[in-house]
Amino acid sequence: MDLVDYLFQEKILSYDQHEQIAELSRRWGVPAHPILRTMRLVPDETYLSAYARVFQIPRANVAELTWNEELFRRMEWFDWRKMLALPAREADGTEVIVAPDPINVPRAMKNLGVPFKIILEEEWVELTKQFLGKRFLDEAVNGLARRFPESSAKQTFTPAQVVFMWGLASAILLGLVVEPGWTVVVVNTVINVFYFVCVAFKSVLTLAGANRNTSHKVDDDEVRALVETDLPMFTVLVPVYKEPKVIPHLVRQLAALDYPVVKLDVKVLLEEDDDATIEAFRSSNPPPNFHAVIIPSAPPKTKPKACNYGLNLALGSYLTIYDAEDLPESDQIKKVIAAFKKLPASTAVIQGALNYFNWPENFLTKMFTLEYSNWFDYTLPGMEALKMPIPLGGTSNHFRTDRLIELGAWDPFNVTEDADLGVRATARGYTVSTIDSTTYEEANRAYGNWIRQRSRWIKGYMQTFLVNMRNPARLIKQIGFKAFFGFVMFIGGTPFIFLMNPLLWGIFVIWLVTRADVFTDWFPSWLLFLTFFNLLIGNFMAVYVCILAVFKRKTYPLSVYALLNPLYWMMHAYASYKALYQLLVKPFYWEKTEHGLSTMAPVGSASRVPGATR
Amino acid sequence: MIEARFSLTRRLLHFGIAACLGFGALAQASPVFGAATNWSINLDDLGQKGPLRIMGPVNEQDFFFPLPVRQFDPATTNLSLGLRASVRIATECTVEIFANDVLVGQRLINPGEVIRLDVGLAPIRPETLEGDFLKITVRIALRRANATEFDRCEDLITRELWVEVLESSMLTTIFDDQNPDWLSVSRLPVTMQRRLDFDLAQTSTAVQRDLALKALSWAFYVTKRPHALNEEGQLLLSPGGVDRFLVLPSSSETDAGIRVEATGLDRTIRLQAATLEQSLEIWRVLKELSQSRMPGARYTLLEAPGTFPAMEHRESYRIVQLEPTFTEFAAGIGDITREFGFDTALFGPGDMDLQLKVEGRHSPVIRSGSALMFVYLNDRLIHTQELKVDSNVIDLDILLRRDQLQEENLVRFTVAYFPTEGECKNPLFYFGYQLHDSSTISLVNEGAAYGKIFDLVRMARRFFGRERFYVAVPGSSSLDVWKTAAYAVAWIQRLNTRRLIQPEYFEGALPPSDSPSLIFSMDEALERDLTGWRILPLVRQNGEFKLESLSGEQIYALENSATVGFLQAAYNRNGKPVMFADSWGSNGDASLLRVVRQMASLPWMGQGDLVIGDGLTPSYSFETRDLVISSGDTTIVPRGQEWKSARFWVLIPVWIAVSVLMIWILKQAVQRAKS
Repeated sequence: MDLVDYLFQEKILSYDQHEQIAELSRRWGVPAHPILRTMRLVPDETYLSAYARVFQIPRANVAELTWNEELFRRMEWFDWRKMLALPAREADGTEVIVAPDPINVPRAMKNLGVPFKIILEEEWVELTKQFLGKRFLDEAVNGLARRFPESSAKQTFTPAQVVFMWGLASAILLGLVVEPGWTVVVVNTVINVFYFVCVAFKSVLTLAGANRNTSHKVDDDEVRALVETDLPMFTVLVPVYKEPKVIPHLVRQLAALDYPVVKLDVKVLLEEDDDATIEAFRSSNPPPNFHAVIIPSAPPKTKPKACNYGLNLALGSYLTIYDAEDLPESDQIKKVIAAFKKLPASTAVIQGALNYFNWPENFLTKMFTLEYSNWFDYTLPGMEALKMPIPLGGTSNHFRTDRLIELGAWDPFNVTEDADLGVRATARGYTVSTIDSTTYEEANRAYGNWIRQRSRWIKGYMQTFLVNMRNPARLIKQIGFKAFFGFVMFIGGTPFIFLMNPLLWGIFVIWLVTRADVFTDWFPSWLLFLTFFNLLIGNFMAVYVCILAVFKRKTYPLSVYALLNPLYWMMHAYASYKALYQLLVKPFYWEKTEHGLSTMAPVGSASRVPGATR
Repeated sequence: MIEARFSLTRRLLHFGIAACLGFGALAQASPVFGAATNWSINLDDLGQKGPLRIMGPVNEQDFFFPLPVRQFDPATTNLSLGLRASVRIATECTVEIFANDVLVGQRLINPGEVIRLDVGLAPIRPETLEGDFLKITVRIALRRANATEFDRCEDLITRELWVEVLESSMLTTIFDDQNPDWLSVSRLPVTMQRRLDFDLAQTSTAVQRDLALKALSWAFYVTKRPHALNEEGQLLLSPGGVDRFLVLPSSSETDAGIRVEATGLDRTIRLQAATLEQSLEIWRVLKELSQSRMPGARYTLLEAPGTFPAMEHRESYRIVQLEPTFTEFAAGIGDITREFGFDTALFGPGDMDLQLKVEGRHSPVIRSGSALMFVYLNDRLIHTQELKVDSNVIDLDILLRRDQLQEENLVRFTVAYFPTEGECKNPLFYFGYQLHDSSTISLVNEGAAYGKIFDLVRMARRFFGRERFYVAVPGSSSLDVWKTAAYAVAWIQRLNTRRLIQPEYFEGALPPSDSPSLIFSMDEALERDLTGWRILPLVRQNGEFKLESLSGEQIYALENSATVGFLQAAYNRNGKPVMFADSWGSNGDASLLRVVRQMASLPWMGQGDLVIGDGLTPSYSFETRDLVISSGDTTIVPRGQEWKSARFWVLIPVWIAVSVLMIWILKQAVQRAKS
């Protein structure tokens, strides 16, 4: 007899409730009792006693359970986790496996010959934290550095890199003593040639991305064709820190996702010292498939560390990250599942498009939106088309969980762990793809906040560049020269351009004002041509591709703001120097971006976002 | 009838004044024709009628004695000054006497005292004398008697504190009366006085006698025109303002005359002569006047179109920002002065007008006329402006004319501020002003809005790469010729900073005509090949160079004795610019080398179509400039080693700092990785 039928017979469940559960069970292809548990239609104790009676599996005395390491070692953690099972000992030393749904554990676990006892899911979470918390934390912080030290940003600079930088600086200084004219010309040439190639490369990417076919479109028919019984378990990780204001929005938006509730495992990652947000989450009355995961306090206090910790508890075979203020299109997860089905098995991750719901708010939000529109609608699809390593965006990257674990998950010491992971995935032979489903975020409307966020991003790009350039030859071997070139231009070129801009503009302005003759020697005619090209055509191209960015989303009023890009780049320049400083003195420091500042707080679904037309 | 008589009377009066001036000057000169060796001149002789009172904010007085420098011996010269003090001054005020800015004597003077101060001028070093005049300065620190408190402001503005230099003050010296220089000593005692709300120093102007005679004839001419005189019969010459004399040929007898146009303190005096000859004569006199080196007013020749050739316009876009300290606030009472210097070379070749734009602000002016701003260029007043009561903005736009500029220039801003008596006690009435460092000096026309954009276009033109540039030297040239050619190329490059050239050298043959060229030291063989080239009119005939300015005009012959380097523009068959460099005379080669070396070492900017002469070459069809060629070779010191050494010592600390930084980075990285 099924548990739900038993409860109906005992008149604990009404007829309507029984029928509803039966219907959902048929539709989603899962047993009825997990749906019952998810819907919280009966009290915990009633559920447990009914489960014990129906399946003849006794209730465990949680208070007396202790950890059973020997038993734990007989299986991989992810197998234990998949079934929410835990190896334990009872007070009398008897071995026992406790789980919220023991009858559904796999045969391999049953073959261990250890009796099962039932616990609540919440108890499983608490016991897991109690038994494995330290291990999870250690794994979240040091797992990547242990398994793939060459991929970890824990050491910002390697000795070889420092020696290289020192040698380069010494050579330039020596050149300035011996042949200052030539030295300045050579340095100037290298800077300007690199600048030129970067600008040209980004223009090519945009043009390649302008081809609409490069983004994997999943149309509505394909989404409708998905059979919900076949849909896999999907985990959503939502790292939140000191954002109590956005918790109601978070719960509302993620609850609105079009995906079977029982197959949607939402893990809200909360920091142990963030009482306000924890309390806000608890008082928001979250749906039963939303679980708070409390991350123990330990350095580095970064988003990737929280995600790594949450990954240990993720139940889904697919996994995505959303930020607290995100407003994903409601069918995004289904689109991702459909896309994964269409794409080759080597696809490890699919990046959703990001954009901003509050773009009309002020100058900054408009510029930010222009930039993001260009980035996600043109540049990333262009990189995909040209088979370049794609730096993932901070949110809406959807992984195959096993691939993510295989890759070593996120680097907790890299402050743009997403970009790093995209490159690492490419280096390991996996592909990163994009999808035309948009998650709307809150664009930074405050300048200080923007600078903090942008300096973190740029610092992360610098970290990613340094990590992957520890052994350029190996990287070329792994991803090929073309992708290597793209990596250098994109990951290295982005901070480089921002750092160089004020220098080059400064020289230009000083020359314009003073007409100092010294610059004549620095700029032979051919180099002057190049620098003028960079200044005029390069900047024109950068503005032009921003103007292009408005077309896909039909946010035409933004096109005028593309002309103000030079102002926006000045802000980038400031942020980049801040990033460089932080790279040297506090590389792992996570510049927190405050959310919930927008006066255009979103209500409802992404379709209500201004200009949300594609 | 009455009008006619009155007019006749005035004319006679003017004639009389002019005649008195002229004959007075001659009469003054007459004693020197005798055999006397002792000679003296007093202030009265100089035209100073009555005592010269020193008061107010200046507290010092300059006056000039005309003296032939070459015959002047300070050791045998004495100055006897009569001084009378007001009864209001404090006891024991110090009087100081300076001759050519050298302190030659001092003593104390008491209230109401009349003293005679005899000082010798032996402290003056003869080599410091120049200009056929001796400058005497009387300076006195005036303080009020019985003042209960020190109040410099009240001391300055009261009219009760003064000391007078008596007209009997006399300079006595001994001359060789047979020397012709001495015979030329005379003066034109034209006293020019500007009347303002307060007294300023009077300035006397003296000129050499031969010029004085011509000037007198001009003055005679002028005095026949009543408009040139003011009510007091003084000539309308302003030392402070700018007098521009414009000589115009008259189209008819009737419109001959003088018209005076006044703008503030500046005046344009249009001399419209009845005949061309008369006009040229006036012009010649004025020109001589303008070239005489005298204190006080100098006159500028402003050439009228049609009469004299118009200056060629030249582009350049250099801006010189005034120095940062310029923004400091200057405050006080009386004369509040700020000054700054600049080199003309910063703007390229020195014969161009500059534009001085000054922006600033000043504290409130209490009453109208109490604050006047004077702008001096090289001690010449070039602009005067009253600072308004209802504004605190200083916005000046002043033309610095090429003839006023020197190699090194000093611009001085003086605000003379005088509150009324009693106001000084209130510090609020202290006056201050600040000149912003947005003030600029630039070439004229630079302010055009399109300037910078146009300059960008010019820069863009450089994109097309280096321009081939041929240099041809005679066959079997000496090392000096090659060196000279190299210097010349360096000079051309300096002139063409916006366009890089790539010199290619040819020896003994003309270069191809598809690029600009420099043909060096023309010889007969080269000249023969020049047929068909459009060469600017430099002709060598019978060992002389002749310069034909424009078709049909006068040919100027340059004497063989002149040792001058020369570069001249022409065009080859393809219309490409060509420069010729050559020399003549006994030391021609050395002179050419010197000139070109000097050109190569000057930081000039501008267009490449310049021709360099020695200042003697008439400036007609092309421009010449006053290039002062040093008597000895200009030595160009190879400074590469010095700079390399300096750079080494500058960059070593940088390298150490970089190395320390790298070690720190590595240490941090390793520590973090281990933690």
